[in-house]
Amino acid sequence: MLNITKNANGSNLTIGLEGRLDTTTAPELEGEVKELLPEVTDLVLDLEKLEYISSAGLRVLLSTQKVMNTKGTMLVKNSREELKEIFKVTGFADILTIE
Amino acid sequence: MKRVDQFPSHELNGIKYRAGKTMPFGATVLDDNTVNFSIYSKHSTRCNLVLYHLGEAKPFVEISIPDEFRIGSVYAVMVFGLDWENTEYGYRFDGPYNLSEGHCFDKTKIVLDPYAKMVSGRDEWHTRTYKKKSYQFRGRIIRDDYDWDGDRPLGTPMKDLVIYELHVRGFTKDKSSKVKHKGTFAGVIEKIPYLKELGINCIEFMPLFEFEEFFPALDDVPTNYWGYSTVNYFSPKTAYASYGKMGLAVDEMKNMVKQLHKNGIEVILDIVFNHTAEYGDGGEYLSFRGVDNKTYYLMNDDGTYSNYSACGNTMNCNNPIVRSFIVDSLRYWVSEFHIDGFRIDEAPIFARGQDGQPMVSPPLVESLKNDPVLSDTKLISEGWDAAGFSTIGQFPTGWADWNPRMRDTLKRFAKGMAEAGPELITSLEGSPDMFGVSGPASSVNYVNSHDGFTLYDTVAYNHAHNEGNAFTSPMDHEFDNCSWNCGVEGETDDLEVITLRRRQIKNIMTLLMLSRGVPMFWAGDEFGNTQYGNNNAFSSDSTVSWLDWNRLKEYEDVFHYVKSLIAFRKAHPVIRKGDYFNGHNSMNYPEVSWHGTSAWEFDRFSPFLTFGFMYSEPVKEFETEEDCFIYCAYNSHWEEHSFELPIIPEGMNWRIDMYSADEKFKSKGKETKGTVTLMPRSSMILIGKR
Repeated sequence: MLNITKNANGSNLTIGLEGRLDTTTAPELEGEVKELLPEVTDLVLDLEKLEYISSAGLRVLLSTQKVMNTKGTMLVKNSREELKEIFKVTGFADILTIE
Repeated sequence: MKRVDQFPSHELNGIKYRAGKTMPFGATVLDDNTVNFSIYSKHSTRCNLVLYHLGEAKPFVEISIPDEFRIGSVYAVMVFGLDWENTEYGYRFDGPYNLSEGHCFDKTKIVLDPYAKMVSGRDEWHTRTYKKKSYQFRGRIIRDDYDWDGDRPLGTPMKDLVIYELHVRGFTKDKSSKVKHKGTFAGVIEKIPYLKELGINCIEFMPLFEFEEFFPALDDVPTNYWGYSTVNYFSPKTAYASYGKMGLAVDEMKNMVKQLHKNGIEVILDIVFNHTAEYGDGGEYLSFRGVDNKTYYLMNDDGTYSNYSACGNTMNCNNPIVRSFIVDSLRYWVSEFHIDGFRIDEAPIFARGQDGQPMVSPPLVESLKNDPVLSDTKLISEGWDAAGFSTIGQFPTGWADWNPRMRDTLKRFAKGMAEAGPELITSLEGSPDMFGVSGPASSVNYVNSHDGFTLYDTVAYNHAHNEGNAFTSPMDHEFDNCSWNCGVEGETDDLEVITLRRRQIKNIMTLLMLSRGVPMFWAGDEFGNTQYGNNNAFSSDSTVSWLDWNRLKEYEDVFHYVKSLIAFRKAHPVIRKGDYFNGHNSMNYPEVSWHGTSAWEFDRFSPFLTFGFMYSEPVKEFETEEDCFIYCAYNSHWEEHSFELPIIPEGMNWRIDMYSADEKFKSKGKETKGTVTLMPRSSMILIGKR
């Protein structure tokens, strides 16, 4: 299960993720992002409550980052230590902007 | 727009499916969580696709693939709505059981897809995820969409490589490595700064395809640590990933390759197609045996497995299907993992026909070097198999070989065997007698590798000490280690012996790094790593095999010396030259010349213990900064000797660059005229410049 919360302020958007981001929940996040991104220039992904991320989940973050690179900024914040390590050992830390 | 060929036609237990696409083989993720499964099996009569939720003992569905889904010898089915990341799959085949005809289908077994791209079952090192005798190695499904950020195979010329052979687990598993992710791909990344300081530009990884750590014939305690027991040829070893259980092995290995490439280090994989982890008669059903035994294995007329590998079975490498399978595997690793080259274990099995006999022009060997994807990929052969068939120097131009003659003759000479001298000279030249057509870059010169002693043990042990091994082997007593313990067997407090050992390591590395060909050495040899006299540590998942990084401090002078030798080699293209030209060059000197203790007086065909050799390196030919001579004097005798330095043009002077008996590097840069005197068993490199 994945709970997605959104907090918009003009073209700034913070998305909070809670639960698991994998093949079953990734399409849901992808759909939300697709719908909201046209209006967003600064995106924050708050991963404080994200418990699990799979390979497919990582790819949603990465593709979102690539979209945001063309039009603004994206920041991944509040990742747990294990998530940070996952970003590091998979090389995604080189591509994502992680606080 | 939705494709018209992606609508279900069948349904079982709520799982919808239809006829799949025949190609490509394996499990391919399509749109909307649809997965296409395709597998070859010529001799089977029925094939079921078996799907599991990740980690569950029982499948959630088993689809008997209808006959109308089969084209030729390929079964293909497309399954809809799969949570593919959390799905494991396998196949159940039915068909004839008649070993004398090569068939042994067993419909009670579920087996792994040979084209699976990730495998579960050994997610943690030496730990069974599933029960013994159950369906243990399961296929997992991935998407190959890694972001390489512009990376590709580096394309460093073969002649310029300095190869470092390492084992992913052993390299950083010991706590002395001080890395965070010990024994993993990430651990290798953490050591990149060290590797850059050392100066190597290529790593040859011991097997890292998914392999079996357990020996089927033994209890579960011994570990098949090295990994020459491949289960699958498209999947990285999950237990080498830090988060393998989370399905991240592919991403982690790709990141390791990417980070190594960023730092100018190529990646060569040691691949083991000669046999599989299913072993021989009575072996387990893991994959190939249950998919189509007759296609994948060489069988004897009496229904037993041919065993040219000494590991129980032999892959039928020149069967057209298996040939394509091998090419597909290598293409996959190059295109999806950006691998720079392969070292083929027991490569002569690539040259055996379907009858097991050596072939004149083995099609697999020809096709690999001419393949569109692999045309720039380095191919290195271990040119001997366990049945005595050698192909060293016989594969087509573009292939390279591990050079065992160099390995043995250098060690023999270094320990004081004068009769090894003449052969050593030919080896230092790049072995033109073995690789005359293809050139020195076809000779991978090495002294130590995972097989045999470490370099330190070569100078510290006369005999193998393999008491802890899982079983005995010819390596224990029959193998010639070509070693000499410098007077005491094993560890000692005798300072004289310790000093001599350090010098011997430096001497051996000097000849290795100054030889023509491509140098390779075993990880840890640059700082005196020991396996405590074990010359066959295949089953030692312990401090016997794990690098002891504490020795880096203890053997700091050795490390510094090796590092300097590598830098020296990289600075001097004349050593790395890719041909055997040895006429006079624009400096009017032979490009490489051989000397005795008197300059220019040397009989290379008679036994000797002292010799010198000189390279001349003109700017004109080598585009270096200034004309240069390199002279190496080598004293393998147990007495001191003086060497007359060759006369070089007026205005040029000899200066000492490295001297193996000078632990403090105090002699570096010292100008020298006339002669140099070398201590017993020592070597010296001098530079002649203006």
